[in-house]
Amino acid sequence: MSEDTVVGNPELEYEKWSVQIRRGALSMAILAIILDGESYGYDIMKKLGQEEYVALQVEPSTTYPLLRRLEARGILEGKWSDTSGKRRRLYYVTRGGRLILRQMVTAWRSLNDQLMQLVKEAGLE
Amino acid sequence: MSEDPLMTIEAYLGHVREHLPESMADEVIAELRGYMIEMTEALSDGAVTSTAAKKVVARFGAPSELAKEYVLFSSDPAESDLEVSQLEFEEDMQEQRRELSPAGYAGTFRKFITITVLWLVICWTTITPFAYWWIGSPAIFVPFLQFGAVVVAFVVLLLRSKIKGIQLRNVIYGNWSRLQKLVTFPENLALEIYRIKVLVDIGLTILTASGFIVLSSYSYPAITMFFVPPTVLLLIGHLVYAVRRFGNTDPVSRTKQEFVVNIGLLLFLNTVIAWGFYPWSSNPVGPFLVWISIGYSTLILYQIVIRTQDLWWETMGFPDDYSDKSPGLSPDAKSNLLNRIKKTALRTIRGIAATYSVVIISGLLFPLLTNIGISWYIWNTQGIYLVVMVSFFAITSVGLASVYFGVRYYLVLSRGRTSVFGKRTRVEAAIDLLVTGAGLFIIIIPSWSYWSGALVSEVLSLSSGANPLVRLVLSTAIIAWMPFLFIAIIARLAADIGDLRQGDSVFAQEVITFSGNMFLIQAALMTGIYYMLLSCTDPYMLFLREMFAILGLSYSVMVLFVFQKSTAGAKLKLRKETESSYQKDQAGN
Repeated sequence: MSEDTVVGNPELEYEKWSVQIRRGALSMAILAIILDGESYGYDIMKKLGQEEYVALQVEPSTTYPLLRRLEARGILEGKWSDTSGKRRRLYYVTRGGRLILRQMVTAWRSLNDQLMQLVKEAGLE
Repeated sequence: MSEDPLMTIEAYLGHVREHLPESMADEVIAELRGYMIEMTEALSDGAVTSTAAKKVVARFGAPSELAKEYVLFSSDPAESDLEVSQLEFEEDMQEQRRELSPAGYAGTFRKFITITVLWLVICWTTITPFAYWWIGSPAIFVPFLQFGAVVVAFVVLLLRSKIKGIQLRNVIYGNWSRLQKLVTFPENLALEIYRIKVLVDIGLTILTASGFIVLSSYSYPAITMFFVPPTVLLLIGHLVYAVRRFGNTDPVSRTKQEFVVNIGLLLFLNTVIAWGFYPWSSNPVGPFLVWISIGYSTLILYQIVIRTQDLWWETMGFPDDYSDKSPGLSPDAKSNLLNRIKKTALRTIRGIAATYSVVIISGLLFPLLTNIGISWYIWNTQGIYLVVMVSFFAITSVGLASVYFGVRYYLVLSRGRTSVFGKRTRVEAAIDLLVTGAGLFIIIIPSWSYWSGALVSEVLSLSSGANPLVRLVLSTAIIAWMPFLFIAIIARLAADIGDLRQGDSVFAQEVITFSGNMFLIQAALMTGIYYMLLSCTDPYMLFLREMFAILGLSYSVMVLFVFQKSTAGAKLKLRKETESSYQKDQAGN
């Protein structure tokens, strides 16, 4: 019997939900970090590692492949750079990426407003 | 003997490589290597240790899982639907090959200078037939002033990127013309139109439009007649597009229309500036209007130079109402919603008509209650004119409400939107705060100086011959007028701030209604005072004409207040009805 099918494990559901939420928010967070300049993966990981963004922390195995995916879709543009003797892939947000980020922000706000409305109606706030 | 930390990382990367397709393996492994080494250095304070390397490897997880993350997106089943459009897109792209090349800061600066000079030459040449004297007047320095100001703004932008160490990158397409290449700036030069910038733009536009309306009375009649109305209309057009940018996720939609408005605005503003230096009449425009025009035209010039590149940037195809669209609205629900809109529209229009009637009737009640007589001559020349003016604004208000609900009706009917009222976002509340703030500012400044000066000190003494009841009512009305106006303003600001903090709140709607009522009471008081003064002083005296002007301003601002008060009242009623029907349903269940 797999762990998923174990009856009576509400914590497991919460953990899965929490990971999914963070993964879903990650591309938006990455675009917001890079928006006004250029960054490379480790910089983004460091930023997300800061205490105030603890809710957004995910494993590097999620973040780095995501950068590639965003690049493949034309949302980010990546380029190798050899400054300071280290070879790094720098990313910036393309014009198309900026547009997508705006759409993400709108969708996120709308989702948040509607969810909070439900929570409020349920008397939890 | 401890292991070589770099070997630990390489061994791990070797396992990852085994699970990656050959086409991407080298790039991905090179990138991962860099990240892992840096993470290891960070964990062991610069010296790469074996323990730190192992910790990093552990954080990256199983090699197969990591590789899977890279491979997944290229075989995502959700993408299969997009394959056809992707192929079409790629065919297009073969024609429009995207070229990426590094761009220098000096080259970008030269590009900006070239485009700015071109636009300045085009604009000032175009206006020359309408104000040819600008070349031989001090106005000759204005293009240099505009040039200097926009260059400073652009240099700040460039320096910001330079300090961050950003390598600018030019993106151009193979089929672009030279002109397109010329006006396109590097893609990563932060030219993003942030909401705060749009908010500043909106604020300045409102102030400029207000300045034009207020200061145009001091101008040469030709300026007031031929240049002020189109400039104000273009400013309103610019305002509309700026407001749209808030709610629209696509910053380049309707760029062409906005661009045309901005070009028109720049031409008119420059013409007004040139007329400010008309050599055959002293001060034909007034110095303030010229300075306002110079300041605002610089802002518009900057926007034109920066946004010329957006003209051929394709939008991504999401409609403006993308997040709002509801394809699943059933015919019954649609019919109910349309009926509800009709009902709410009628309720709002009735409210507007009633409100204006209350203002004018309350005003008329003052002379009636105090039993004072206004001669027919004065009534015909002053009183009827005031009634006509109120009626005009009432009709404008009803027109505004009809358009508003007409648009809502259309959106439900044709596009399946689900709301009777557009939901007021924080940004809309902020815009409202700016617009109503500017409107109230325009009204409160002359009202205050009039109230604290001429009205109290002179009017009461002038009305000394009137009967005691008239004097009592007049004194009470004059004393009450300003407090009501202040309460209206404070309540209005509180409502908008409340909306900013809480979104679409009941509190905000209630306070907007209250503020509207206070505003209407002060308008009624002012109308009453005006009628009573007509009866006891000379109607052609300067202070009475000033009061007439303030009344006119008050009625024009009231168009917005009455409309908002009525819609806020209708919203509250609708909410109560919905809540009560919900409670009935709950009780029934």
